[in-house]
Amino acid sequence: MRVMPPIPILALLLTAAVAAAAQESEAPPKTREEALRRQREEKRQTVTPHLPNRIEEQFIRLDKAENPTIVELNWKGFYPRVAWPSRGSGAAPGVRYWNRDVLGNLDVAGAAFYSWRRYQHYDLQFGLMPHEGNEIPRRSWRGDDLFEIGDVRPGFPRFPLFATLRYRDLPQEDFYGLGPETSQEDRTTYRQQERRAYLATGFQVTKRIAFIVEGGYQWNSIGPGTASSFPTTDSEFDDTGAPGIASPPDYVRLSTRLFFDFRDEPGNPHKGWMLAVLGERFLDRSEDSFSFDRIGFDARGFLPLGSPQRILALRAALVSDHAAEGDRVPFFMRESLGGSHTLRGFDSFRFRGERIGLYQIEYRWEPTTFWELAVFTDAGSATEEGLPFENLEWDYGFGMRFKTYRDVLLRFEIAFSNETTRYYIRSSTSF
Amino acid sequence: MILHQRDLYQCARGPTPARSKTEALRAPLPARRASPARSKTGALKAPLLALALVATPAAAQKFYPDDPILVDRDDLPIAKPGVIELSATYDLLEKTFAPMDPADEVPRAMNVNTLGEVPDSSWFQNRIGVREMTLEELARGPLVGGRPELPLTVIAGKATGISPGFTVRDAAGKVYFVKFDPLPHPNLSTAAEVIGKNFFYAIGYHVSESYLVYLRSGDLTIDPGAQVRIEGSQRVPMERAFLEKMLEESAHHPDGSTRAVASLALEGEALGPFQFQGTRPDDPNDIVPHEHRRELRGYRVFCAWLNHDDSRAINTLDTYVGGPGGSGHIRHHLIDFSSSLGSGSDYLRRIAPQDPRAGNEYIVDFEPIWKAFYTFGIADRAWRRIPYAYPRYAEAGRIESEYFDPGKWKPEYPNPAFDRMLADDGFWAAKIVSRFTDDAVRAIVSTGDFLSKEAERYLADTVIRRRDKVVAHYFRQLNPLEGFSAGDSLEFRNLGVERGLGEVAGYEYEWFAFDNQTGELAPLGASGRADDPRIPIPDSDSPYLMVRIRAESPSEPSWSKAVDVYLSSNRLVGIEREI
Repeated sequence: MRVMPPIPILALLLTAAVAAAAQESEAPPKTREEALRRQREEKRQTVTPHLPNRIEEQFIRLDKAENPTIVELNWKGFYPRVAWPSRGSGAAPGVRYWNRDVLGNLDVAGAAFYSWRRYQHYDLQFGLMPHEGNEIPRRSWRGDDLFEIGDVRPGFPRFPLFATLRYRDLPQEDFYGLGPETSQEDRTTYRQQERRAYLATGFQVTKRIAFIVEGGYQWNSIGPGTASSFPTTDSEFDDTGAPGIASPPDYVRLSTRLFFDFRDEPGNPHKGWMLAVLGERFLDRSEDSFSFDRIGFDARGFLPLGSPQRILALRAALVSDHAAEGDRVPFFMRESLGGSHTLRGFDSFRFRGERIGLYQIEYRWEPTTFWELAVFTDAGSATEEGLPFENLEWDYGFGMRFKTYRDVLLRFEIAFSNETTRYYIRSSTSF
Repeated sequence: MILHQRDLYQCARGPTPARSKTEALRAPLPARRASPARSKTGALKAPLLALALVATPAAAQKFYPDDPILVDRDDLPIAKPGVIELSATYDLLEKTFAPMDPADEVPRAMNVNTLGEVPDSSWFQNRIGVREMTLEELARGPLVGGRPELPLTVIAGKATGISPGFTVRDAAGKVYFVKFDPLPHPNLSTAAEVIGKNFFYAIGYHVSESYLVYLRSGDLTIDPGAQVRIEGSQRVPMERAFLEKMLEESAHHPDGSTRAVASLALEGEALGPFQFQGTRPDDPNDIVPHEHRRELRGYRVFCAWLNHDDSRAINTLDTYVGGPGGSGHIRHHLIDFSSSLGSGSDYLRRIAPQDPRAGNEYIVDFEPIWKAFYTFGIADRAWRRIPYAYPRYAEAGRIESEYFDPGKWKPEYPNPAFDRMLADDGFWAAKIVSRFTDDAVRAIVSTGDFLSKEAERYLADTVIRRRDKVVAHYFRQLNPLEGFSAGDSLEFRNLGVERGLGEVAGYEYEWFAFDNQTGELAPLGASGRADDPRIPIPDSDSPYLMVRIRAESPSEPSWSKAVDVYLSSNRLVGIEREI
């Protein structure tokens, strides 16, 4: 009797078992539960880890990053920023410094910027400075001019008290002459270097009403502009046409500003109004022939036309300089019209005068909260005497803005006037 | 006449044309709807292994002996999958600007049993939909683990985001996530969190336990290793002053304490959120694309009812439960209901009453945007004119019922499952909504522990009126017959009639013998008509019978749509609805 070798037997049994198993798996499931279990077992053979696509991966990395956001990004209080220190300065990369509560409640702030047109801005501030929480304080680059003060938002503490040292070098400022009778062909450039030291204090009466008082010294220096395409101001104007060009005065400057801010969101208003009132005294400390006072106001109203997506925005601003008897107001200290916030169809600094009037109307509509379109018209007048309601220059145009709820991120505008067509890309509201 | 059951599983290709009875039998009960936004995402590229729990291949067995299954055993042991991360920003952009591929067909939900119900699973646990829940049960919600035992030790802080808070360990060692109401809005978000959670728990979703707690500074200590990330900096050690400031800037209870909601950490290991589309490729149990899961499609109905506009993937969480070392499985949870009911966030993403846009328009909704664009803003949103009761009932936030339209409600941005919801999905959800009685709603709303009884009453009344609208809307989409029981005759209920939505003159019916293997139907006599919801069962040797029922209602034309009911030895085994 032959005995079958064990290995073939095992192989046979194994084959039979596999065949039986295969047959069983091919047989229709007997129950719903079994049918579902088979599907799951089938998937078990092919499981793979979840892998996000490349774009999603980058988003995840950004979301997870515990690094500060781009707005918060800083190194020991130094925040990289791009600024526009003056109209026509071009973009100026630089840094701001912000360190709150350095000594008790005292804060330190600073800024250093240099533009591709060689404009320079440096400042240092110390004291109880207005700010909101940890946020770096908002600022107006031209905080000393009326047209920008409405963008300085009240903050805390209620009693700010701080000192400022500031130096600005503006090498290509434009000058076309004084008053309304100037032409685009009169364009000249000059260089202004300005140093200021001042102390500011104030009181935030309510969340919406505040006043600030400033006092300090301002040193001015005027020289030939560095733009090669235009003549320099001193080559085209004498001290009569451009007062102060021969011997620019230094000033003791006293300033008071009062804010009534009843806008719903200052950087992106949909309703409410704002009124800023300014009173300033400039006391000439060098030649004693350029002392003057400045008064002015800037009123802005925002009327929803039956819906927050339709806004009528109105603005009226007046500035009036009054020189002391026998004195004059230096050309470089006079307010001006032209550029992205005032007469948008004209070049920056196009009109200068002792009396400035600006009137703006915009119809804004928002297809959605972060996208706004606008049609606008601006009118303005810069005169040497009388009221700035006559000989109005005007322009019109349209624009598109991308916004957050609090701010305009990007503003694209095109404006037309009888002189030129201007295009703007800005990161601030028009007014 | 021989008919094939595979026709019953056809997908929709357009509106159902008017049909003669014979024609209707040839193409019975197709799914329908030209689907709106749909999708193309990586998730959908996952192999579509899934078949509906009821959908079997043509000419294959339709009913199994264990049908209808009440439990889907999707808890088979699996190796622990990896953690899935989701970018909330990417999710918004993808769903808004690159939704899933449009498709002509929206298949019926794939995870229902032969009765069209959702079996219990790792996704859903039938509760109020299948049984009575006492008011105490409803008010207790998911709470089983116990309130946090004081003192609490802060082990991490969260100073950024919509609602700052802490992660704490209580005296018993349990971990809770603690969130506060902001100073200007006492009780708003904490009430929404607790109330919303209790509703969704009763509906059947897996949620965490959340407790309202009233804390004083002395109840909190700081773990030496606790860190917090504050705006403008990376993580820094948490200091007592920071904790005190957070308490100080949170809403206070009249007794001086600070109210918070403490959510117990979910059981198991967190694996990240689930998506409302595709399947997890690393979970063998996950075989039905999520956009075709009825409880996720129907989630839209519940979210509309409770104004949970923040019902997006980032507010979900999968956990690995059931055992270590590859013996566990995934359970799918909903988390964070603080942006529901009248609570939401403002433009700075801080807790605030709901934005009037919420529920009415996506964050980016192209149609109204373009309309407003080319009409110079004249085409305005109707929702802007809704007169909300806020701030009269400040704790309830901004929620109303008069202008609420369940069919038009929208979440923050498109959701693939919501977009694929069909009338039968909506009907399933509305049935559950209809199970919440007035007392049930009031019992759950009372868990918000409002200071103002008027606010509590207003919110409960609003939820009740919204419930009625939801039920009316979805019960009018199809023939709302339910509650079938077979004895000497087949009896059923008309939920629409019971809710007073319309009158029925009678019911047309036609019986068939059904071949479970081939799907063939053979008529059993002529069609009949019954005045009442009771129809005789014919004598037949066939192991399976099917009856097609249509209601005659002059006021509700949708009720003439067919409902096919399958019996086996007088046992109810299947229900299919024309949509």
